[in-house]
Amino acid sequence: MSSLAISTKPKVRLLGIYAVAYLIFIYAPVLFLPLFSFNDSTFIAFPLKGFTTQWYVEAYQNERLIQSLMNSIKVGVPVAIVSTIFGTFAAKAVIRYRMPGKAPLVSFIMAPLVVPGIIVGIALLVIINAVGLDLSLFTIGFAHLAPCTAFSMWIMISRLEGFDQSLEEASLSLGEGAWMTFWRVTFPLILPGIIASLLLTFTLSFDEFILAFFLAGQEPTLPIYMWSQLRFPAQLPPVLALGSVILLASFVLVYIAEWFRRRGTHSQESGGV
Amino acid sequence: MQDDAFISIQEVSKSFGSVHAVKSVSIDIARGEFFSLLGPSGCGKTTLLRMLAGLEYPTAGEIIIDGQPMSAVAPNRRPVGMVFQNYAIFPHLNVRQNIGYSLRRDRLPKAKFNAKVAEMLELIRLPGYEMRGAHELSGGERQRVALARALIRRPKVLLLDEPLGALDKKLREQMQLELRALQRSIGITFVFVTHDQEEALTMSDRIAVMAKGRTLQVDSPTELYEMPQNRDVADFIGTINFFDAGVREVDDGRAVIDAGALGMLSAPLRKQDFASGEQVLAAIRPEKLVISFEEPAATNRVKATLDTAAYLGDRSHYYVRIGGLDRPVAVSAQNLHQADSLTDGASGDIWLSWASDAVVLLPGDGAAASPQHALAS
Amino acid sequence: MTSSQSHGTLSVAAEPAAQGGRLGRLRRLYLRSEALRGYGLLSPTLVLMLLSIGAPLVLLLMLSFWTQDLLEITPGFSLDNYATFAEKENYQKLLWRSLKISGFVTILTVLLAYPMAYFIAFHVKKNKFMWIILITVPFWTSYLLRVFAWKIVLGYNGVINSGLTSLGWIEAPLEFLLYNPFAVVLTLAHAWAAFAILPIYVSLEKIDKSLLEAATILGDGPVMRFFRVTLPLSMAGVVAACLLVFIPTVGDYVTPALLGGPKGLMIGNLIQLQFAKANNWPLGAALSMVSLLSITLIVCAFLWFTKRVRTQGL
Repeated sequence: MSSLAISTKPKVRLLGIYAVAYLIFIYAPVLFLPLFSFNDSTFIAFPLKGFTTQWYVEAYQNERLIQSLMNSIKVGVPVAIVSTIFGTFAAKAVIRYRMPGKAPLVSFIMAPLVVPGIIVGIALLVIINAVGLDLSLFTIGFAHLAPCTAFSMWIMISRLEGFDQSLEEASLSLGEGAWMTFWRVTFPLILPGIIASLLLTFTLSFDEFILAFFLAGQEPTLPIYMWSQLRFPAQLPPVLALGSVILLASFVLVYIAEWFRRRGTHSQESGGV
Repeated sequence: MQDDAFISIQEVSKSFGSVHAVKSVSIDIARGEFFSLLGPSGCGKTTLLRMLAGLEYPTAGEIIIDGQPMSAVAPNRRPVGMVFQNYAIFPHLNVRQNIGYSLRRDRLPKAKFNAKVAEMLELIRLPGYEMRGAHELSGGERQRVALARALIRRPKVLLLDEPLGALDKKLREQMQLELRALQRSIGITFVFVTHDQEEALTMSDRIAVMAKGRTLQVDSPTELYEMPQNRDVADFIGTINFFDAGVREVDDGRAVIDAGALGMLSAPLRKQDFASGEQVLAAIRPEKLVISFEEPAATNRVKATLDTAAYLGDRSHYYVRIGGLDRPVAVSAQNLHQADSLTDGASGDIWLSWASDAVVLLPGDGAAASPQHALAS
Repeated sequence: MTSSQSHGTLSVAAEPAAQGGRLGRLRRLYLRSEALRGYGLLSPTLVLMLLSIGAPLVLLLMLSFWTQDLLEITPGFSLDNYATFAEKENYQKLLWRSLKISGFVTILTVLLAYPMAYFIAFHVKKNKFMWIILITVPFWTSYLLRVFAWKIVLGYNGVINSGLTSLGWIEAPLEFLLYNPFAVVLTLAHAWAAFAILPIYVSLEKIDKSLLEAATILGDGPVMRFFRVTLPLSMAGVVAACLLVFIPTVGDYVTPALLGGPKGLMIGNLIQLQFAKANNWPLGAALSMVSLLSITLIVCAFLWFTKRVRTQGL
């Protein structure tokens, strides 16, 4: 923001004002969730009635809600770990080795990020049905692996792009094999990227709705539970409270992740967006 | 392959897709030798070094180190150490951890480990640097740490990829001497890649001159300089004057040649034999030509005019015109006395003379050319 | 140095055993072939993608050719489901509307995002990093909650209506805010903003600033310079942004379901219906395939067009 004050040209100032307006456009709607979550009224409307933490207490005491929260964590943690491992290896392969057909393979891995979620969701539903598996948290987790792995690969590619190959070669020439070289040289140096990938893929899985919507069995994840509550206006305030907590948690996780992701590559300025 | 070859590179080629980086190179390197790969960038010298390290694998051919074929040996199982061009100091480790990196598998007690690292730091004259971070080191210090790290397990061969390129001139010259002294004291075979001919000449026992993926000549520095085998080597190492000539007579290790404007000359036949009637190049280094104002007594002499002169302090460079030659001839002379330099406006007729052993005969390739390198370099 | 040599034996000696035989050959091949090592590292991810995207989509395609009578699904090859789509004008309208809405969303998102990306790339000097984080952070967080937030803003008793009412500016709540295509377009444009900003920002950031200076010295004013240098050089980012927004939004389910109302429903809602209440999976599969095909055709046409514009001009 500080640069706004420095620029004196009217055109630049106009662009600066636009940028601030854009940020408001991005943030304002989301900020109404916490605002109304503290409002002492079952109606989500102005004028505000008064301050209360009642909805947070209600949300906390709702067993089904807490259970679905636990379910989301149960899915998100393994998904984050597995997809980050897959994504890191894939990114390493893409950055390090000359391979024929690399570009189409990368596009294929990135596909889950663009193919409409609903189509992926029903396609998975069909195949899981055909194989005869029961819908469960496991099927949700499996569905989350593809987009999370694609994201992880993307994050790790931007991390590995600035990686000095000769460091690994030095380790090899000093007698360490590929595996120990990874643990002693590569891993410590890309650790910030790995932490970022873990946090972001966890957030992605934790907040994912459409795949879980088709693939959830008897145990709903948190977004599925919230979706079921959105139809009942009386249930809205606790959902708002819950949503605010999730937003805050996601913001914190993502902020830490981005901080890690850009640490070290920061000097390249544009590096790894 | 020589029987005593410690490293034997046998008809090794390497292609990256359609680019042929190294083309059927064969070199034998003896144990304990300081061997340099010299050539311009892109000549394949670094690729060859990386193949010795196992960081690249030959497309064809075989590399044998100490009797073992290397084609199925991973880099971490080769008896080689390597110093990288950018030193590749691990940024997340301190100096002690960097130097002791390869000792992990020995599971030494801490005191022993520290002692070994301290010993290496003594060797590279950086005692007490153990706890420095990688970022706190200067260029020269990084170079030494990389050296210590590569040497701590005493590899049979140390590979160095332009390790002095990043240092400034003074430090580079100092490190050249230090490296050479270190190599002599520990007796490990060094394979050294450089594009700097002076560096290669100063340090090496033998040098392979490379261009476009091939070796042009493998010889000692003196032989490379005094007896280049072909025009490219003569041209790449130092400065040299070429004259078209035809062989008239061959007798008892000497040839009589007709060098046009220089007249009939006698030149020694050294590494190559030429037959009477063959077209050759007569090459003379600038410092082997002597300038004088009066007609000298030497048999090999020619009248010339001074064209341009450059004063360089310890010596002067002259370009001299000889009647019947379209290109000037380069001459370099030591300024032994204050009055020696011809640069203060002196011009006009002079004499050039040279000892008959100063002429090197090379296979002819048509037109002669003036020196390719500016003398000032 | 001398005492360290007491340890002299090298553990890095070559293994003679690895030389001969098939194992040696395999080992040699593996060491020599970078591609092989690369594929090795990539293979777990490729297998995962084949299992979780490739195979399901192939099965979905097969399913779209099967038929269903009441609850009985008959495998085979039949175009009945596609015929149903061709007969039902409502279905076609819904797909057409989805493509139109996504088209509007794409244009709106990219137009809104470009100045923002431009600002960060060229005018933010100190805290670029902060700005990028500010832009990205909301988009990692719950899509469902972000869409729901708009329902709170635009609803009958929502932020805008109740706010304006309590200020006394309007008598009765504005009904045109929610449950129509406009609400869907606005919400989607908000939800996918980062997907447009980031690729455009990256392409702008890559532009060599001296090119802009060169254009200025050659006599271009700021406007001409933008259209003749900056915009063409950032086109790759704009094209990527268009694809990243258009493709996923065509099949969006949550936004039209929450904010669209009957007039704002999209093809995703119809597909979902086939897998839920209507329980006609083969028809749902066929609708998915038709959607994917239309998206693919439009994307190809778009790419062909932009390539033509870039190479030959309009």
